[in-house]
Amino acid sequence: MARSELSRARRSRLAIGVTVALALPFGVACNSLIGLSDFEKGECAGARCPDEGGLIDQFVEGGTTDAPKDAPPDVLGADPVSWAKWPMPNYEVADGGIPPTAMPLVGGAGIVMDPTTGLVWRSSPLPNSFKANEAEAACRKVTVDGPWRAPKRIELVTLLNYSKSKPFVDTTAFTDLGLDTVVTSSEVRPFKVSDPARQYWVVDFGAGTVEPLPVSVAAKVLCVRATQ
Amino acid sequence: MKKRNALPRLVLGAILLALPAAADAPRNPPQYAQFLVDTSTITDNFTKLQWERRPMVSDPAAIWSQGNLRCPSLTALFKAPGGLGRLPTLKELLTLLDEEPHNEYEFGAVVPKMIDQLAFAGTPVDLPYWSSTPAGSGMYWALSFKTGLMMALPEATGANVRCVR
Repeated sequence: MARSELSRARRSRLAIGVTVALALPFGVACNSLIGLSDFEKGECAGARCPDEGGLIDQFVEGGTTDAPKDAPPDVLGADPVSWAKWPMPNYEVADGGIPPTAMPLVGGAGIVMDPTTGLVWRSSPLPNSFKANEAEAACRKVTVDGPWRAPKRIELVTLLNYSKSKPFVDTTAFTDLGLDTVVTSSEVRPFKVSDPARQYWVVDFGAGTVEPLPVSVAAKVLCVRATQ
Repeated sequence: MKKRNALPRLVLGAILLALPAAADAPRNPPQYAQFLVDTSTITDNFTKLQWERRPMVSDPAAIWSQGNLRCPSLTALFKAPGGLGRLPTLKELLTLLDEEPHNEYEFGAVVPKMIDQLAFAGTPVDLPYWSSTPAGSGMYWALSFKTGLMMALPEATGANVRCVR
């Protein structure tokens, strides 16, 4: 009798344990499905929450690191929005006489390192022009010192140098970059991957502007990667 | 009576409780330091810039001082202890641009806004925002948070100001 009660108690505990173990993954999945994850994002200021995932570079001690994307493209095919994950380098004197914050670019062997952002750039754009939706694949084909990728809008913005006249970029470091328009992998919203008129953000180093460009128009590609 | 060891059960219980929380925990620090609804300034954890949450709506007389573009002395950052606010450079202003617009009701119409809707709630986008970056003789760069486009404007044009330090 006592043994039977003991056995029943063990079975009961085992059943509870198995139920909890099986229910746990469903609970976690449900957490995301019903929007509790989004609620958490709301707490940390909307689109600028870390798990929005856009920018894959994280500024760490000694440089940046390329982390895997932690958010997939949305239902229309656009990647998550990117944000600055490092101090923005200013090349000009700011309001109130604040001196430039940009550290000198370090170049050599076809590579330019930006100590302010920790980003590493190819010193020359790719020889051919590419449409924005082809830029990522074109950079991945460059294997030397890679892996390389196409820059996001806010990454390419860091290279704009308003302390000089045209082109608005350090041509000592970026020797083959002139009055070029350079594509980014950042989509202009509203974006639909199936729309032939969709646009991507580009940086025009000749005019010093950041503007949309239709995907049908090819432009220069300057590949980038993290420090580590 | 056999004495039961509670430690394994406690460990198992702790793991079961911690797992769901760990699955949803943010992996990186948030872009902004914590803020309250009525906080007047907000700090970007990555760019290290401290921004005014409420912009100064267009008032050329307040923004233009002795022929120079200046952060108005009426703003919260200007009055804050530890230093004066200043106008952002164009590239600093571009760090605020949200590529994913959201719609807000403003001046009787629904308008798209390309700026974080919680950190900078109620940002008017009817006019562009001044930067301190010169764009040629008598011109400065400004940025529209309605379209995401930048433009060179003649000085003393009416535009908004969001100060930084």
